[in-house]
Amino acid sequence: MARPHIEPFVELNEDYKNFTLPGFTPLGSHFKVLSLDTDVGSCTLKMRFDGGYSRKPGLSYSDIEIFVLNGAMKVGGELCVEGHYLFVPAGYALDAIEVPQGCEMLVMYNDSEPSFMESDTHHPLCLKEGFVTVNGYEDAPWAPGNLVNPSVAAGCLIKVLRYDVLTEAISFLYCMTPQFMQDNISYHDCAEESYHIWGSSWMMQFGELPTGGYFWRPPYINHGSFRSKLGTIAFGRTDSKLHNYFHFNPWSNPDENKLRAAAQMYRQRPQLYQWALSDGHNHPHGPSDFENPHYHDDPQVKHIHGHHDHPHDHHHHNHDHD
Amino acid sequence: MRYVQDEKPERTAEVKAWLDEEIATQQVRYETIATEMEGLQDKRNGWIARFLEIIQNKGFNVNGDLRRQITPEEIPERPDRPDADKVVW
Repeated sequence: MARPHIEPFVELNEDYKNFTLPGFTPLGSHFKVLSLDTDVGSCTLKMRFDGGYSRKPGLSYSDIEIFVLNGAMKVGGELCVEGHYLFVPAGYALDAIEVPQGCEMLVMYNDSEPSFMESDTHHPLCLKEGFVTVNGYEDAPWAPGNLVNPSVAAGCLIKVLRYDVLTEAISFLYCMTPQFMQDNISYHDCAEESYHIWGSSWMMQFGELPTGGYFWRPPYINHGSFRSKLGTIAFGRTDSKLHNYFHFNPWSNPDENKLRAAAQMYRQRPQLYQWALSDGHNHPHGPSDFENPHYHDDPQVKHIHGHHDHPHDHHHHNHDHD
Repeated sequence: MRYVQDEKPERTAEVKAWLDEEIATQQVRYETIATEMEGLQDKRNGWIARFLEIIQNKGFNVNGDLRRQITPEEIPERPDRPDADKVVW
């Protein structure tokens, strides 16, 4: 399996552990696993770095996303304070890190377990133009939630921090205004992840999710209706395109929800549905795309289709392409 | 086309041990959460009843703030199956 359904998880009740993985500087770095892919090792960590922590320049074999929750971290000449978001492509030699007075952050390894190799030059295969550095609090505008249609109710706003053009996966901040309410049940085709930076929200299945509340929710799982009494601000991600399927059946299960989604596709995109189902068109690695001829090899595309060839002990897929 | 991810070195024994420990911890957490969520069922039944009442009066959010009143005939019945109340999958 990939990441299990972790919802709700309030990490503030858990202790940090020392981060002792090989290659990393263990002194002054601590972690909690929020969720972990049991096959490939990709994970979301909450990390704490003590004042005085430093790390030399280096790269990872995984794409990394970082969101600074509090404190400050100096990356080369840039001071990243609370609200700062970084997308660091695999192989990107991130400048030396210094933490003057301590900080906490979310650190997400998207492709495999955490890895670090000291280096001041990018890996030759690095897609370095994908690097993102932005302060989400100060330098990104709030947009209405109707960025996605069908839309959430008014009062749920979003700041997009990163958008993956191949999969339409997004990383974002969202907020719910005080007394936000939405009376429907939602599910998506994508996995969805959230960390409550501040405030609480309520869902009919899981109850209140307070500050420090987290979830990793696989596709097609019911959530909602929704309430937020005093408001909340949160960091969220999806692993592919976010589409809101709304309904009012509290007892539907993920298989039924998936069937309903496929039935919508059957009705709304009939030619594509028929073509995909027809003989010879259901190759698991996807059809050819003249605009993106190499998309089959993209790590995120492979990941969301469960195709991976990382060495591990749990189970193994390594498909040949035609 | 090759990516950096394709050149990741083999996992060392230390990394495997770290993963095994964290996977085991996560499994315990998953089971704890599932049990806690099962324990909410009485409250959840009340929340569901209230939801079904709201969507028949104030309405169901179809898209954004657009609401539609759901008729009594449209209200689903709880199915008789073991996973009917399951919320953690």
